[in-house]
Amino acid sequence: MIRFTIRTLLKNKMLWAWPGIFILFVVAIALWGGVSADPSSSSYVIKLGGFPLPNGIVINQLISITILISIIGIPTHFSENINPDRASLLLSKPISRDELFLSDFAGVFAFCFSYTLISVLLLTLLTSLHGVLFPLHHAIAIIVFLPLILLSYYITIVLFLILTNSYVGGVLLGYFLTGFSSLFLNVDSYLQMFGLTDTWFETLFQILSYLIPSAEAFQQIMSQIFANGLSGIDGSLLGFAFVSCVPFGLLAYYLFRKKQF
Amino acid sequence: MILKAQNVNKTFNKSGGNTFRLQVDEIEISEGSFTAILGPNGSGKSTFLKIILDLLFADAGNIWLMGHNHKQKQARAKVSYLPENYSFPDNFTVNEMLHAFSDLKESTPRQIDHKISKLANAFNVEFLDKKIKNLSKGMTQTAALMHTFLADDQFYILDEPFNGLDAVQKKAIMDYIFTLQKERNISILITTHILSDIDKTCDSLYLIKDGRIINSATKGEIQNQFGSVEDYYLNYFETKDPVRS
Repeated sequence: MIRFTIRTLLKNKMLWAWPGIFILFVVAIALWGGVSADPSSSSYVIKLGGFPLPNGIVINQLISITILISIIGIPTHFSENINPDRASLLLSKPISRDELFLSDFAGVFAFCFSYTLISVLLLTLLTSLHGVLFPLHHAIAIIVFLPLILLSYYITIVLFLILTNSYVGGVLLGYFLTGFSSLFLNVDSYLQMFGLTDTWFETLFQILSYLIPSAEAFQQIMSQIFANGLSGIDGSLLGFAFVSCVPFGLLAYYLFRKKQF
Repeated sequence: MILKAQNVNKTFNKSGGNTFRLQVDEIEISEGSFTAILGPNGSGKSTFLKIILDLLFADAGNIWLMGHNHKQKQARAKVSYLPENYSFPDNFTVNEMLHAFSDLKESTPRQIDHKISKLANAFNVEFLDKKIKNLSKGMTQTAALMHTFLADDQFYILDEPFNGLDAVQKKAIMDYIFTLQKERNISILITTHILSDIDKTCDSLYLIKDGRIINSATKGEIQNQFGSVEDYYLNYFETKDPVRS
């Protein structure tokens, strides 16, 4: 079933935009720009048309575009798989609902990991063409945490695909709710901003923060690694990020097992 | 025993606030048999097939499929199902679709390309490299039948398998089924609206109406009492007097 999921994802032309964006970026910089080592740090400076671009912003923009493409493109196969016309074909094979659900996540993770690896290899190629080493901790941060960011969005989207039976409903609700969860990471400042000093609100938002997959937490960890290397990882934030994925993941799993086709 | 269903019932709400109740007291299908379930639209044929395969959950009853409880995935290890409505990934070619679905069954032969070309030959298929989205209704149905017969299974459940097929294609598929029955003693459970398709082929028939099996008969009984499957069917379902000139 994992292979089936990967096959359908690889055939999804919308998702070809992901490596496509990276290839375009590498070609554009190779033709009209350059990369040079930053003497003040172990990092590098990307230039386009003679203007230096802060590499943090460049990488973040590329990742943001990748996330957007993935959020739109990846759930299409799951949306089709839970359509009774497709589910009848899949679940009449010797495949249990558990297997279909779990191998779908495994397939999506393997796909995201592969495309992330290709993206990092393209960035490494770009920098090495200009005699600059792509920082190892940047590569590790992207390879490990970009698939996790995408999975955290995917968990919420899958839940709402099951609940709404609608691709648009699932993707929109999943995207906004997972994005909304970023508020919970700075809940104190938001509560103060709105004058909500009651501890009741704080407790409520803390509980909510553990219920919705926190893509923002994974993104913050990635930024921490970019800035301070692997030693900069906040262990409690990492734990929180994983735990926040559990409730929606389990709920989606439970609902999928009960779903009839 | 290939299939045994006892006291199966399921109630669900249909659109318009009506309730539909399927109640099947007993159905048995033995090895090597060709069984048909016949009934008007909405009588519960497809619902029953979906319950057998655990796509829909029965409220009560017992179903044994290939010697296992039908909820166990082992029960479906040697079963192939062609639903009435299906959806293949439409950006796949027929060949890619067959390869993708072949991965999902262990009973698929190792030499998958050889099996695909054998099926293509048997079903007169020359569109293996065409994308699913570019196929006509008949071509899509033939591709779906290829998908169904790809694995070397023992029990084939076919829900309206001849939808959209011309007479030549129907004959090719029936010939292939007969060959499989001779070679591997496969069992077939079929639902169809086209009674002539199964007139000479069925060993036993069940008639279903409003979710209940109202009659069952063997091929011999039908021939002796009614002459043909069509007359047998009309005897139970025709409600109007024939128009007289």
